[in-house]
Amino acid sequence: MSRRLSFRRVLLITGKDLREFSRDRLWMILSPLSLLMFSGMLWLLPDNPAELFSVGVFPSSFSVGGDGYQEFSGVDVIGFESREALSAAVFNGNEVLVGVALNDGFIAGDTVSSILLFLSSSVSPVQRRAAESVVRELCFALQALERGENPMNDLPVRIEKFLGITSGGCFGQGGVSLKDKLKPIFFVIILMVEALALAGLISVEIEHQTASALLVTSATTRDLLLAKILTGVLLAVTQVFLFLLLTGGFSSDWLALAVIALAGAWMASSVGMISGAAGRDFLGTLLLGMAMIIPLMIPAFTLLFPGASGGITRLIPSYGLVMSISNVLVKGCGFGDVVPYLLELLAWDCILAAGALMILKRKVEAL
Amino acid sequence: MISSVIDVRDLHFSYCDVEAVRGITFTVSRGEILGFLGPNGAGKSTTIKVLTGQLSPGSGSVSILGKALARDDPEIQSRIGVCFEEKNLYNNMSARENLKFFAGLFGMKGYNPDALLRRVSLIEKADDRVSGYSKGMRQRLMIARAMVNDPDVLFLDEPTEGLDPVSSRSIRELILEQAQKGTAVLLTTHNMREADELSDRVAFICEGRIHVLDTPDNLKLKYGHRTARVKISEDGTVRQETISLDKSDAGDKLKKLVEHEGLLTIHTEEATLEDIFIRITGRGL
Repeated sequence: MSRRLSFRRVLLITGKDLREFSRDRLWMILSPLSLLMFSGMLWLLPDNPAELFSVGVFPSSFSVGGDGYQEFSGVDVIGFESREALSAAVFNGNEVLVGVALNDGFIAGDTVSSILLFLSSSVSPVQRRAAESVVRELCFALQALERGENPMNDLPVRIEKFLGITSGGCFGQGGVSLKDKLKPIFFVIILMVEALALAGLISVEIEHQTASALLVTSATTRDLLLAKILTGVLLAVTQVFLFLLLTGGFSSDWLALAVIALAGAWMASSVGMISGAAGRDFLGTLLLGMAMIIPLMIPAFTLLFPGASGGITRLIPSYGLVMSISNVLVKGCGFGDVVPYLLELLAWDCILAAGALMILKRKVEAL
Repeated sequence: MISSVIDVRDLHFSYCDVEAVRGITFTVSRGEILGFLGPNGAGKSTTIKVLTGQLSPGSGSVSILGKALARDDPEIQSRIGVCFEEKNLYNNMSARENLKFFAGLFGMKGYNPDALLRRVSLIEKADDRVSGYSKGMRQRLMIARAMVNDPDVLFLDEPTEGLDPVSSRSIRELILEQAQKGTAVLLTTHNMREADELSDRVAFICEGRIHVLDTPDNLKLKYGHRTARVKISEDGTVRQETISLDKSDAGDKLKKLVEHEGLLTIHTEEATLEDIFIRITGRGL
């Protein structure tokens, strides 16, 4: 019987590939290094929401009610003894993002003439408007104090509390920290490092013509192709499982995470096969791999900029992967919530795998 | 009982527009070594690639062990061994691991490669990584890998290319030993001395065609010239003379020289395969 597939031979070739990988210095440095580096970065980053906003005020007597702001709205108001100290804190030390310099008696009746703002270069227009709101609040508070009223309780309108409904379970406790925003990005990067590792293995197999030696034994082209997919999936899935273990990711829906990890590893495997088969040599393969991986990273980076995801990024094959892992890992969604994204991801997996198999098959048969 | 282990009839193969093999016909029997001789680009390696299923034949018929050749045919491939010109070994694995892995692909469970490693004198370095091997050691491992499944047919593509005389000799001994066990061997080389020493028959291949196929002795008798080269010392100088042994007066000439007092040396010479190759194909190797 010709052209038969043998799982025993597939496992043998996969075992050989994993052994070769474990003895390759480059990948044995890069793979654990990327895992430890990205996991370590997540351990080091603070858990609190990134939106904590520090405002410096001069004179310090105007920082009235600062503690209250910090507790309820994530705004940290710090008093400064001199205008110079305030500007230095903004421009030199980045101790505060915005400095508000006020003159004594700056409220003349019901009017405020002008207020000087020192703005750090990292302050966005939205944050500047937020700073202006803080100053406005201060004005109300100071005016209330002058009248002998309690600024927290005696305003004309009193809001008991804000009720916020946010998508995803964990958003109920506040905003998304930078740490949480980076988790899906690192997840995708770690997958793609393994795509490069597989590409390197395939490239060496083709360049050294060891694939030809395999194909004059009882092993068939199908055995070889399936073994490469399996190697890629095993490498990638092991790395992301370790990443999730090290970063406490499995506290989310583990079934959803396992499915996403497998589907993501499948995508990484296909990317690795395409770049491994299409590259002229090892260096060419790595460059081609990078050229494929960079666009695949775009959906992950849009998570850093609210409102940037969606639109044309939906057309990128990794979009389903990024959205599903982000929803599960960051927003605490369950398997059922990410099914549409998973289906999108699996569809792209099938397309990429078909392309990868076709390219690698042609390359192997042309050896 | 299969008379010809390899049976090739009117085989053609083209790479796009370039016809690399142009209608070659030959057979190799059990225990026979057929030397495929020709310069680089003559079509030797392409023929081996077709016969080992790496390339599909363009036209003509090829049968191995009585079975028509097909790509990815495990039945045929489990009974052939191939030694490539390229040293395509897994360099990060040891010799033992390489052989065990390939034996596994042939379905040989629990295979112990020690006997084969001993045969190719690699047992001492069996657990060292191949990346640290010399060229000769790698080539011996290549031969061992080709023999791991105890094949009925062995394809050897330039097996001693670039090796020192000691390594070349040990590899030639291995090939002869394997043929004596009944394996049919197809050997490609452009080393005429090696072909002469090893081959039962040789085929001269040039530009994709077999120009002649016969035993080395028959070729020498048919196309070569027998000569005797004599060195004589006369009046303090050394004179050299070449006598054609195929001429009728050769016996008398030799008798006179043997009786000459100043005779220093006398060597009989026969045509080399290289001379015959150049004469038949009109080009060198």
